[in-house]
Amino acid sequence: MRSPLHALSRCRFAVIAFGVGAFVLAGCQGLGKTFDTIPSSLGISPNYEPGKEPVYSYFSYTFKKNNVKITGVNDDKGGAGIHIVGDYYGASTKYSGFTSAGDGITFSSPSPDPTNTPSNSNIFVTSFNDIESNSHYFSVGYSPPFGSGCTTATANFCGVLYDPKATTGSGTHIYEIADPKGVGTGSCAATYLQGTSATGIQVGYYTKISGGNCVAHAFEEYSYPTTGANGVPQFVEFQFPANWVVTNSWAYGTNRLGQVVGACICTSLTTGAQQMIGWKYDNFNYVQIQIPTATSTQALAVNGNGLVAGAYNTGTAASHGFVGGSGNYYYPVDYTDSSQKTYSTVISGYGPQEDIVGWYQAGNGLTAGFIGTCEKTANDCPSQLAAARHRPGRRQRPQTR
Amino acid sequence: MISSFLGTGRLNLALIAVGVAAITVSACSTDTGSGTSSLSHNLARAVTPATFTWKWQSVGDTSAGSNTEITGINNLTSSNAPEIVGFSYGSTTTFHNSFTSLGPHYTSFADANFPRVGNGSTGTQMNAIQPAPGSSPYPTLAGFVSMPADSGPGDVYAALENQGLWSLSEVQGAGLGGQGGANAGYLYGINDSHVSVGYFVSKISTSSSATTPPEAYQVVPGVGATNVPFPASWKATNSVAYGINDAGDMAGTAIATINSSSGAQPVAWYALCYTICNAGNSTSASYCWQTLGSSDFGKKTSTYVAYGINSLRPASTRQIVGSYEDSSNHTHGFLANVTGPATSGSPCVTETTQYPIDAQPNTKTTPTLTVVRGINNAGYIVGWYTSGKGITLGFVGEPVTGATKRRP
Repeated sequence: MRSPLHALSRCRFAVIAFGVGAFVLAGCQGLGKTFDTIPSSLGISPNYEPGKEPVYSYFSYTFKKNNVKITGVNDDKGGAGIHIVGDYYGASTKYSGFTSAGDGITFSSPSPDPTNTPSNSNIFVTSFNDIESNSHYFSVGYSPPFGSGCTTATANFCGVLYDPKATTGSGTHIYEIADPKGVGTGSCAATYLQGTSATGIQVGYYTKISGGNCVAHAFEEYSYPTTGANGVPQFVEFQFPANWVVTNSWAYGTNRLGQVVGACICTSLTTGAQQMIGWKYDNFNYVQIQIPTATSTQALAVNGNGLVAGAYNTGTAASHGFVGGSGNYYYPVDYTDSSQKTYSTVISGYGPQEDIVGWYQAGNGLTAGFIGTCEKTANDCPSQLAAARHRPGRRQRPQTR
Repeated sequence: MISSFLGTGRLNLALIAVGVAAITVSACSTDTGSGTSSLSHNLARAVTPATFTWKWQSVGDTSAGSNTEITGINNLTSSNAPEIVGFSYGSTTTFHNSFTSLGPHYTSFADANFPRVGNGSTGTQMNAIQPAPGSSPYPTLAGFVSMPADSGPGDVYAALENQGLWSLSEVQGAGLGGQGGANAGYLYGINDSHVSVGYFVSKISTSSSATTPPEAYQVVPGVGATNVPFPASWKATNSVAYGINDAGDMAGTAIATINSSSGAQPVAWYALCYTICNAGNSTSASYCWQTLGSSDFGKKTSTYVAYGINSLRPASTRQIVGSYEDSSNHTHGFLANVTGPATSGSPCVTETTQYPIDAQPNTKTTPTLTVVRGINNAGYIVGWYTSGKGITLGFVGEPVTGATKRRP
C-alpha cells in the first residue's frame, strides 16, 4: 500500500460582514491524499495515483451560533447561484435550518429555512434544489412533527420540503412528507429527507422497528413537485444486489441525473465482512465505495458530474472526509487550520465547481461548517488529477499561493 | 408521411409545454380482429406477398388525447402475452403520456411517466421495455423525458426506469449541458443487459440554438455512452439506433455511403454482434453490417426505417421490422429475415424478399399508414396505424402463422 499521508497547508483569513452578525472565514490551504483501492460491484481494479492530490482553500463558516453544520450545496444548474444549506444550535437550544447564497467563497447572511419555523421545533436542512432555472427552488430536510402536513404525530421525525414560492395548499410554503412507508410508532419511527436535485428527485431513508431492531431503509421519492397534470407521486426503496446482504441502508445525496449515493451496513465485496460501506447508484448499476483502512465509509454527496464525496472512520473517534475524482480515484480530505492542524471532518456537499462543504469538530468541542474551494485554473480539483497524471511535465504545485 | 430523423416528424418532436388535463382518463379503445397483411398496395418488386398472419388488436389509451402509438414489446412469457409500452397524445398537442400494458387484452394501462411533471410542461415518451425483474411491479423502460422548466423551454433527457428508479442522462462529451432543449438525448431501445440505444444531438455553440446532426449511441450501465461504431467506409452521419436486442444486435437509420458511385444516401441498417456485445466497448466489439431497402425500391429506398430486431437463435433466424413508403407515398410496415451472418467483418445477409405489413384491426378499412415498431422472439409485432377516422392507434399483432415458423 502506498499513499503517503503527507499534507501541506497554508491558511488565510478573511472576515466578511453580514447583515446578521459577522462570519469569520478562516481560509487554509491543504493537500489531500490518495486512496489506493476502489472496490466495486463491477470489480474495478485498484487505482493508484501517487503524488497527485487536490488542493483546497478552506473557509471556516462560523457565526454567533454553536454547532454549525453545512449540510449541502446545490448544483447551480439552473443558474440560481450557489446556495449552501445547514443547521445550527439556536438560542433556544433548538436546531434551526438556514440557507445562504454566494459565489463559492463569499456567502450572504444565512436566512432561516423555513422562515416560519415553529419555535419549538428542531429543523434540519440537508439539501437545496434549483430546478433548471432560477425562479423555482426549494430545500429539504427533516423535523419533528408539526403543522398539518406531518400527520403521523407519533413519528419522531418527518421529511420536510420547504418551497418559499409555493402558494397553494396550506399557504405555509412547507410541504411535509410524512410516513411514506408506514414507519409506525415508537422511538424508531422516523422519515428523513437527505437530498434533492434539479430534476425533482428526493432521497432519504426511514427507520422502522423490524425484528426488534430499528432498521434504516434508503428510498427515493418523487412526491414534490407534482402539481401539474400527470403527476405521479412515487416512493421507491432501493433494491441492492443480493450478495450485498444489506441490513440497513441510507440515501444521502442525489443529482439531476438520478445518480444516488448513500451508505449501508452490508457485506463488503472486498473484505467479506458486514460493515458500514458507501454506495452509488447510477443507471442500473450499484457500486460499493469503501475506503481502504476504513472501518466505515459513508457516501454523502454526488455532484452534477457524478463525483462522490463523504466521510470515513478508521476505528478512532475522528472522522475524515473524502472526495472522488475522475477515473474512480478518491482522495482523503481533512479540514486544516492556519497552524496546519487537521480536524475530524465530514464532507457533506460537493458543488458544481468541485468545491466541498461540510463540518469539522472545532477545538471547543462544537462543530463548525467549512467551505473548501479548489482552483481549476491551477489543476487543483479532483477531476483534473487523473488527466494531469498522464501529462508530462506537469507543473510543480506551489507551496504557497 | 412517417416520421424520420431527416425531417421534423415525430422523432424530433419537441415536447412542448401544454396545460393538459388530469390523467385520470384511461378509456381504452380496443378493436380486435384478425386478418392477413394487406397486399393491395403498390409494391416494389422485391416485396413479395406475405406469408405471415397476425391476429390484430387495436390499442388506444386516451389519457392524453385520442392518438396512441405502441413503441415497444418485451419477451415476457410468464403471463398470457408480452407487455407493451407506448404513449398517447392529443390532436393539437405534443404532450406525450407514456404507459405500459399487459396482455392478452391490452385494455388497462399503467402510467409510465417520469414523476416530476410539475407545471404541466413536460412529457414522457418511453419507447422500449424489458420485463420487470423479480417481484418488482415496474418493468424496465427506456425513452426520453422533456423536463419542465419554470421559465423557457425544458430539456430533453434520455431516460431509463429501473424498478421505479429513474435515471436521466446527458450525452457524455457533448460538453454544453442539457439546457434549453438544444443538447438532448433520446433512447429507443433497451435489451436484457440494460444496454440502451438511441441518438443525441449537441448544441454547436453557447450562442446559437443550432445543433449537430443526430448521432447514434449506446448507453451501457457502469460504462457510459459510446457512439455506435459504424464501418468507417460508410462515413455515416445523421445516424439513429432504434432497436437493440438481447444479443446486442442493433437496427436504425443513417446517411451512409454504401458504394462510392451512389454517394451518401439515407439507409436503414442493422448490425449483428459477434463478440464483446453489450459491453460498451465500441472499439473492440465485432459486428457484421447490412442495409435494408435495396435499389430495387428506387426513390423510396430512402424511406426505409429499421426499428426493431428480435433475438431468435441462431442469429440466422432473426427478424427485423420497420417501415417504408411505396411509390404512392403510403407507409407500410415491413419484416425482413436475416438469413445468415457471414464471417466477422463481412456483411450480414438478409433474405432478398422483404414482407409488407399493413395492420388490419378492422377489416372494413385499410390503414393508410402502418409503422411496425417492434418484434419479439415469439413473433408479436407492435406499432401504430392510421384508422379510418384519421386518428393514430396502436396495435399488437399476435402471430398466427409464419412469424416464428418461417423456416424449418
